[in-house]
Amino acid sequence: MAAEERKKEEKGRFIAERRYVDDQRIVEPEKLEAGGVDMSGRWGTLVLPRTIEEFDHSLFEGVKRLPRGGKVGKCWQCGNCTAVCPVAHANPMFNPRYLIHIVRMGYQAEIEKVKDYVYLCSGCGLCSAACPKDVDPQGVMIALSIAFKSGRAKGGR
Amino acid sequence: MVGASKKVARMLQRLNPDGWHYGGLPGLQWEAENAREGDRALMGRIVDELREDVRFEEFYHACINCGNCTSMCPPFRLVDFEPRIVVQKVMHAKDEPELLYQMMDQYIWACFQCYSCWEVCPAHNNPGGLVAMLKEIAVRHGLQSARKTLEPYSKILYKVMTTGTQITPDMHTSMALFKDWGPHKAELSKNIRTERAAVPVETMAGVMDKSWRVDDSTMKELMEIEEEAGVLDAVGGSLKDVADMVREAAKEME
Amino acid sequence: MTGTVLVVGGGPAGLRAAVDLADFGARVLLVEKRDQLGGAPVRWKYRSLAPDFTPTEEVMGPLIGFCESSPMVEVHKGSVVEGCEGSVGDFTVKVRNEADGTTTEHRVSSVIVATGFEHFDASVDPRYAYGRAPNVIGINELEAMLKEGRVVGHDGRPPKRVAFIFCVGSRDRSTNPWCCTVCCGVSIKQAIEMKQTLGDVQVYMIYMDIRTVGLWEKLYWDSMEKYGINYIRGRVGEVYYTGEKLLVKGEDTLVRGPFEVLFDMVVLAVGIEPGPGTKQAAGVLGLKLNEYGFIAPRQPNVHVDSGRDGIFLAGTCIAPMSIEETLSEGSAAAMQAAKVLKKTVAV
Repeated sequence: MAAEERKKEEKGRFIAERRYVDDQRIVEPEKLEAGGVDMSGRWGTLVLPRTIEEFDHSLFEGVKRLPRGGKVGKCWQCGNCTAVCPVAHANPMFNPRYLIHIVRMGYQAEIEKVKDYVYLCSGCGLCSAACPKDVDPQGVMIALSIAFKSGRAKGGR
Repeated sequence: MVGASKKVARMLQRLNPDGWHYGGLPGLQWEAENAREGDRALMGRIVDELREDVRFEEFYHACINCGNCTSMCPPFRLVDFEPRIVVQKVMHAKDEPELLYQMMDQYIWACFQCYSCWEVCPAHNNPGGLVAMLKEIAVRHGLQSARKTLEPYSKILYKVMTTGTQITPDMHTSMALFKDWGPHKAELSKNIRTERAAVPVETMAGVMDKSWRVDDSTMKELMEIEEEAGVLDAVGGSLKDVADMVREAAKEME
Repeated sequence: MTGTVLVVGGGPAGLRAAVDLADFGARVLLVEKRDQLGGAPVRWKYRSLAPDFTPTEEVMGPLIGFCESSPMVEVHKGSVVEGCEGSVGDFTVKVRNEADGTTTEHRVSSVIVATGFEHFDASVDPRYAYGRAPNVIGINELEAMLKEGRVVGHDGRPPKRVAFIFCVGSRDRSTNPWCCTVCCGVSIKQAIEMKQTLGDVQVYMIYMDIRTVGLWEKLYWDSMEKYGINYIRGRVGEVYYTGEKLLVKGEDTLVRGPFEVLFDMVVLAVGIEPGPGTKQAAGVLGLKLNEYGFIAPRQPNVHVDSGRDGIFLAGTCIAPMSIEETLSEGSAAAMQAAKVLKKTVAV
């Protein structure tokens, strides 16, 4: 375990802005040979791009069909829900506005990162009271947790 | 502020142990990272230095957060670095100097000054230029991040001072320094002398002789720049031998 | 003393002014540079007008019909005003017909300038590949497509995925720094019409801010709630033609995520800018232009007052504005001309 930890820490240690690169995106082949020349070590380090190449609305359509997620399409990303959310205040990883947007546009990598935080919603309903477009974010959070659970988050299409 | 950030940092540590970089929510992460105690006086000086720079007026107007700069930014494809955030943090530097200071560690070093951002900015801001200014300040104050980033550069400096600005396939084999040229360069250098003989003499003029030697006045100038900019001091700690060598070379010149 | 009013420009503002003055009992000399009355809505074949999808003919038809047929309105098409002398109540103007080169002289009591605007030429800004890549069109060209009811790419197939890029040639120091005020609303209107025409199409609006002012906001809400149009906050840095589709590079600033997505069609929400006609008319009539090239009124809050007595302004030659504002400015300018008439001749 300790060795594994160290390995994780050493990953991409030559990158000047290391802290701003996802661990998962750094590829360091143990042995890299190109054209008969040994290219192992830092020369072989690759960082995979984090570009979004596809918008995928299938999960979003699924959420819309769920009982309390029907109004999610109205969201215009003003951030009122997050502003009043007591959970978001204590734990910024939970952000209703953000969750709605990444689900709407289908940013799979981003969903994978934060989907577990949706269960932190305490269901207090402050957001639904504050929402200017009547999206009912509290209900949407419930619908999202159902959608994520039913495995629709992975693969999506 | 700092106390609160510490709390957030601990929380992040607990909540996000799987190492995914938390890229989505602007602002948060820096505050979290900023849990490290910083020198408030230094932060203030950095902001003042930035705003007093003669280039500041030209490089910075105001940011409307449109994201045009970021859409053209090459590092943005790989790293969670955004010129838009740089300008935003410069914009709010007076109120939140700690965020600007935080940015100077690692963050700004993702930028390599291609100035694509400058080209497209509708407000004619120059995020790349602002980053360059911040980097200079980081070097001047000898910040840890500057030292670490400049290590490889100081080797290049040494190379320029000893063997000139040219790099040829000969060096690939003789010094085995430039692996990142790719393996085909080794192939190239095998018969390089024969192949060169086939190239007209005037084409090769200057390649093999002049550019491998560095003029004394150039050396002196380079030296002065390095000294003035504080690069030598910055790398002196970690790469003592290189700095010493360069200093010795300078002494010999005098 | 004369009872005639010169109206420069036969677009919505000019036509409205001409109709009002003729109804009032004044004679109108209507000078239009092009060979057809109606201005931008007719020239670019606008399908309908925001915010209520009113067909263009319904608004422009009666105005054009009245001016073409009324004995009180003398229409000079294909003509420009070449000279203007005198003062309020008695101007002598020269009108030159561009086709046959003949010049006629007229005596008028006052002048209304309504020279309108031009759509921004997106080929000026290289990042959108307009004019170089197929299927990159302006909102002005899309209007004509929508009017025909046939929205297709260069290969004749309807697009499956369309991006609208907002603020092209607006809010940018490199091109035009002002906000054109209407192209948010117009683009959203077109996106809805596109959904209605094509049905099976995904529309993405890449915006910096949505500026659907006043009651136009309903367009924005409807587009999102009824038509499922997607909104991405960001600005596009590059449109690149892959040989098959258009690669749009941008940033989703709501998630700090770079996107590079393929689209079948890219529609540029080109802005409003002052045209050559405005500059020419201002030169002839001795009017001041502001830093942007629009005609500067004496006081920015009072659009009709040009700063020269007896010369009045109306419409988008002063500032970008919507068609409803343009029409009422035409009426407002007509009122000023009527005031001059009342003082000098009994109508």
